[in-house]
Amino acid sequence: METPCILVVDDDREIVKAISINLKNEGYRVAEAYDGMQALEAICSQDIHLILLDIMMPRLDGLSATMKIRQEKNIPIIILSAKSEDSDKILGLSMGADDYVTKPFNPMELMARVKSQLRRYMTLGDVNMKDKNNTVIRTGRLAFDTETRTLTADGSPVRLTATETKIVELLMKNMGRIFPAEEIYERVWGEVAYSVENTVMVHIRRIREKIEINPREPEYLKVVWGIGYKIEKI
Amino acid sequence: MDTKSRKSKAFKFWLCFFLGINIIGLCIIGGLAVLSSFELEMLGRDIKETQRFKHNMAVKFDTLARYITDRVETDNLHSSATAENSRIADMYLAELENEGENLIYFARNPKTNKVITNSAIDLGITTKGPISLPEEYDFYIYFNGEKFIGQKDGKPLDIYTDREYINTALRPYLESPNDYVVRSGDREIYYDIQDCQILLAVNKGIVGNPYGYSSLYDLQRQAGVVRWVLIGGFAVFAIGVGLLILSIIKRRYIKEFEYMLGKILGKIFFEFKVPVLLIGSLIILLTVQHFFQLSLVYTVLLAIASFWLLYIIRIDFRTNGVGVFTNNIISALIRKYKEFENRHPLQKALLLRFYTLAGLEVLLVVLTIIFLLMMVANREGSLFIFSVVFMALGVYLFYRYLRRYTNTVDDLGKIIDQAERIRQGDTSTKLQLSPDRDLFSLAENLNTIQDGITEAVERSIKSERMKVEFITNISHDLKTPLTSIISYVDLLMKEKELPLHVKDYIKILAQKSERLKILIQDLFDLSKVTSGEMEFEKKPIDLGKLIEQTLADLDDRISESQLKFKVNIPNSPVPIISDGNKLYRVFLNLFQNTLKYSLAGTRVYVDLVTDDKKATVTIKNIANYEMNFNEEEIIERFVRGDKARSSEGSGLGLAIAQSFTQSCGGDFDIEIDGDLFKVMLTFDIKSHKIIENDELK
Repeated sequence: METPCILVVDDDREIVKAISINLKNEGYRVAEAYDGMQALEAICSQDIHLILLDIMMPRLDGLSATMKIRQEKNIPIIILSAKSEDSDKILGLSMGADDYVTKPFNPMELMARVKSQLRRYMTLGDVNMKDKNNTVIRTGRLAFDTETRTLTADGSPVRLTATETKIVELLMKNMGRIFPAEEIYERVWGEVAYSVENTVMVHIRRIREKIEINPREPEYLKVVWGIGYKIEKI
Repeated sequence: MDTKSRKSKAFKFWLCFFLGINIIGLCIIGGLAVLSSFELEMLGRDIKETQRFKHNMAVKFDTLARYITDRVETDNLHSSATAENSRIADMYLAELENEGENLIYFARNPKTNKVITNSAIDLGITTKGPISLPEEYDFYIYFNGEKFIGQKDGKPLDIYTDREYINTALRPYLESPNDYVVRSGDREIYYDIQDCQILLAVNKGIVGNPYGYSSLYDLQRQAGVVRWVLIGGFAVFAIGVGLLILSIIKRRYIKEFEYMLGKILGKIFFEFKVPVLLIGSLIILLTVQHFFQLSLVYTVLLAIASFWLLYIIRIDFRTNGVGVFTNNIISALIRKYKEFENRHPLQKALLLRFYTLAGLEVLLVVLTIIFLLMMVANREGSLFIFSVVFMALGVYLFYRYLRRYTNTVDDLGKIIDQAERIRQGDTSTKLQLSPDRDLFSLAENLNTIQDGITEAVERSIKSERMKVEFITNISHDLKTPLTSIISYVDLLMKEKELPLHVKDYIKILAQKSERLKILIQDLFDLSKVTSGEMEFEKKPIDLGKLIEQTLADLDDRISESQLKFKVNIPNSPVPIISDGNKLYRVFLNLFQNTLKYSLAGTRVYVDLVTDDKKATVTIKNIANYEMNFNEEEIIERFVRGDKARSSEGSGLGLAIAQSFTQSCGGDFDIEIDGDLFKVMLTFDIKSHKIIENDELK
């Protein structure tokens, strides 16, 4: 497989440079652009596998560029923006971006997200093949095979303990539904729940560290504060 | 169009209307007058066929008869009378002479052989045969001694068409003479003209005589004048009708003028209108009553005058309505008094009004009594009317005062309500009082205050919005360079060949840039929540569970610390309606603070206590430093720059916790008692099954 080429677009050249260094360290090829128009030109002239795109840029802003790219190509787009409001994130994702990272970002987290998006993009064909079995429950980068009771993130298996697997299975099978700690405890441990919040939370946190890119800002396994826990359907 | 030219236009068209009506009215009089006079028969006919002409000829015939018969009044048989008679006869003859070419006359008495004529030619009158006249004479009357013949254009002529006769000479010789009566005012005198021949012939063209008076020419001229008078009359009538039609077409302007006129009329007091009205009505009544006794001219003039009177009354009522009655001297005096009152402050005006009323009432009562006494003393019943008038005036004034007083009291109630409404924050409902009310200016001032409040609120909302925008922009501008700092610090940290102390420096850089990141985000959140721009998604949640979850989330750090958490949360759910994510942030901040600032080895108490309506969370800990500030200051600590500021976190934790709690619908209190630091959060309990039924699905 050829080395993936990643396009970094930001009007701040230092940021582009820093990201490029990190990406090159990870072994990727990097293309650079400093506004939306240059980004569109780069996509036409080169074979790009992923785009890191700023929003506030001269000439053509990131959201418009995303829309233009989505008209023709299915390349994964990660938006990098200083706009941290939920509404900004929702807008970016609805425009066709695959992920939204707020500035200032942790370089390691960004690398992890790049890796995740690339893996999904490159192995898309395999994933589709598996889906035909109807035994796989899928949300975003997570897939749980109910037959083998294994969880994969971006196609690679996640090693879970027996209890964790049970919790994941419960939440994956009822994706989107909120489970109070007591219910999780009773269904996973099979015992009467009494003061179990801590116990459940410990397991939830451990699972998060295994499946989430940034466990402190989980995308999938979420706490619904004051109610319970759920796995988000993405 | 400017109002001035519009006004003058309105006046011009109204003038058309006014003149039109008058002209038509006057033409009707004129027409009736002409119709009633006999002159009308002179119109459009040959002058020689009119009765006046025939009478004229008959008179002339009589003159000749009188002359030829030397008739003397029987009762005046003396010489002077004879002389007088002959003088008159000569005078009449001279008149005949004056007609000149217009007239040929001939008279002969065979008994006296007296002949008188102005004709040079022989007319063939000697015999009893037909006469021969020159061709241009188309009209003649002829008595041949036995018989009377009248002819015009060769056709026989009836000389007395109106069956009245003025002379007597001819009567015996007319056919059926008894059909004729003596014309009123004339005396019947007989002339014996048997066997005499008398002829009068008139020329086709009657011309004027420059040397004397021709009665025939005068007649002809009169006929012409009548014609012109009639034509003129019709023309004027047509003009009148034209003006009326024009004014009807342009009635929009007439209406305008009538409105202006009405306004002017409205200014006239009712007392002045009454006499005019009464006299006018009286005249109209009399006119109607005596319609047939009055001369035509008077009738029509009165009709026109009545018309205008009714017209003015109509305009007055249409424009001013009840104002016709209410604009009287009394109300004008009251108005004047109000103007006087308006120059004083309200409290003074109210007192003044009361005193004025009291004074007037006393005066009126005194006047009533005086007139009553005078009536009794003088046995004069008509004085009773004055008493009644004064009494009625007194009652009326009292009624006016009472009504105004009631209105003022009503308005006072409304203003009190309005003030209450404003106090409650309603700035949109305005209190509209009519401008003549006593408390009008007070109400207006309240309205102005409302407007001021609305404006101030709008301005502050706008400035808050601008502040949020400003902070959003600032935080973006801060985040961009921070991204570079964090990225390059990260790259530096990956460098392996660096000296140990440099690595320490980089570590500090990494920590501080991380803190800066949190600080910027917290600042942004705080400014957003305090300006009310942050959105809160309120849902039913279990407060107990939320605290447990938060503590579980912090479990690692709690067990690492040397603190002991004593948590007391009821087993049953504590339902509240709030935003779970935001409340998590509150408790996270509070517990983080506790972890940071508690004295090592002490206990931290977390209690959730509920009653029917409220749920109260209390977090108590012993501070690890001296809290030399009070409850308010600690929240604003960041602003003040206290020594207790930590080296990690933003220092905005408590401020965010307080603002978020309040926006989530809770109360946030802090108590400091020596080293005991106590935070209390209170929420309303919203009993619901929704958590189980809906939200869990």
